[in-house]
Amino acid sequence: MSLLSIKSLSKNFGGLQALNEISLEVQEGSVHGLMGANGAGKTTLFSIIAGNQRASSGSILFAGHPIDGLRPDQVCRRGISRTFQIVRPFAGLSVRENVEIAILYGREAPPKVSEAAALAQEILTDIGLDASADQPAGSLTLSGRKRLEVARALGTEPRLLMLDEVMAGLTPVEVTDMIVSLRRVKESHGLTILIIEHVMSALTDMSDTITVLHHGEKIAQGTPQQIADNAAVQEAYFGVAEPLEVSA
Amino acid sequence: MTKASMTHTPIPAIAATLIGAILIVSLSIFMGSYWTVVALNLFMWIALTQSWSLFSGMTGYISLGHVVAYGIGAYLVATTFKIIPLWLSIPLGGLAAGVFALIVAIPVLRVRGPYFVILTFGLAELVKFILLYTETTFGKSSRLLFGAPKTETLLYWVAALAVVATLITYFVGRSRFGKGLAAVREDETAAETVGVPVTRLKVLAFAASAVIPGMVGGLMTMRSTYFDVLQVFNPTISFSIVTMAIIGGAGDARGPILGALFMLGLAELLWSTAPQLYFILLGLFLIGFVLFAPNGMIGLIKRRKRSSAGVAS
Repeated sequence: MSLLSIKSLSKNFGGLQALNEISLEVQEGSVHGLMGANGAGKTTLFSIIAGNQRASSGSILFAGHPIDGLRPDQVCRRGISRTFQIVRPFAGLSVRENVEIAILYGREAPPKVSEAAALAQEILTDIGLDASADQPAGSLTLSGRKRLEVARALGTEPRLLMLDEVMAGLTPVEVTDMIVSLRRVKESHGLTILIIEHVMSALTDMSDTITVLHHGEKIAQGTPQQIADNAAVQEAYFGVAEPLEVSA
Repeated sequence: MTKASMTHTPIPAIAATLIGAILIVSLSIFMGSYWTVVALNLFMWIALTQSWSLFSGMTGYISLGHVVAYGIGAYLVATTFKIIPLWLSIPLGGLAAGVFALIVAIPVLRVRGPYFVILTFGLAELVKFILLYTETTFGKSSRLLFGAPKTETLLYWVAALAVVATLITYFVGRSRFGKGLAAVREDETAAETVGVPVTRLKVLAFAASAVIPGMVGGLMTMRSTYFDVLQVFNPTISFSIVTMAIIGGAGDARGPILGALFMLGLAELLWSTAPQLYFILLGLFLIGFVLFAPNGMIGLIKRRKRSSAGVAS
């Protein structure tokens, strides 16, 4: 069953066609990767789904209900949470308070204020940030901030988690750690994940299905293996229509 | 972990606020009329700065127009004086200020940073001149208010408002509402992405922060026994509020109290002997705090506490 269903979604900024008639089905419980070069429209697609931007045309159904036109906070309470590629922590608040706010506002049925701190601590433990809970979020390292983006998104108790390059800028060890953490929280929270990632090994490692965007168009969709073998993808990335001949 | 599960009980804070207020009120009345007026001024500034802090301290939107609320309350009470009783007109003045803030909130809160500061200042001046024009048109350059309550009576009222304003700031800071406002202050886009209804919270806080200043304005116009538009809409009132909040520190209910105490203390020391020195020193303190202690006196105290705790552990 598809949890998120996008039908012929377009977005133009003046004369620039950022997204052109994109249709996409994200299956419940799956990890769906979004791939494409810079400017392909991946983050724009995220922003439209999350309500940060409006589509020019097209429709978005989440769990069978239309969500286009809703404000970001309403989309969030419906069960969609996103992270930002350029991290946006509440820098002056503690790491725990960052997650508490997500818990208190992002859920359909929020807990009492007095229970939020303990719930936040659980999430921080899950994502490996429990030791930094009392630090100001602004003092975290990049890897910590990326984790906080994920922790805060989890605080809203999403059904669909949208991860925008949470591994960009991390060291290989940190990437491996992040993949392990994400797999764990996906299982424990029963998540569906839509993920944008430039670290290709991470993307192919995690995704069940990958959709490739190129200049705002959807050019391919399939399993990681199918995508790797796809001629259109190779053309978009390498400018050749056929696999390179390797001379012996 | 222990810190996370630890919830502070609010009772000591409530008790300290009440006891402090009662002590100052009774002591000042005991010490005579001069000190009664000093105490009245103190509570007035605490109530005003505390209310300002409820919105500006928590959201980071610096309002330079809070005098509008004060003036609207004063205007309503002055124009209805002897027509409706004070116990009714003063809360109505607060309500009118709140409703006014609610109406202007949506357009005004669309801008932030320096634009918001200038816009609120300009709005306050606009309202001042509209009312000035209205009053002169009706041939009322100022209104004398005979038979206003005694200073002691006003002191009780204003002290009560200061207590209420302090407790509101204190409780909002601990509430879900307060945490949402903090998220707004830090990053509005991130706040709405995690479910914070940003516009609704800002508008509510803005309107709420105008109510008590409206009531204070009504009471203080009784104290001066005449009403003059230029006096109750004097922008210096807005400036003083912001100064006290900067020196004391906003975003913590103790900050505005410290700020008001500090500024009134300085005024008491220097006003009659060296008024020029008062303004020079005030300017220096303001610069000093902005540069070296942006979170005000309360920020300094917290920093000291934290560093001594760090040494102890």
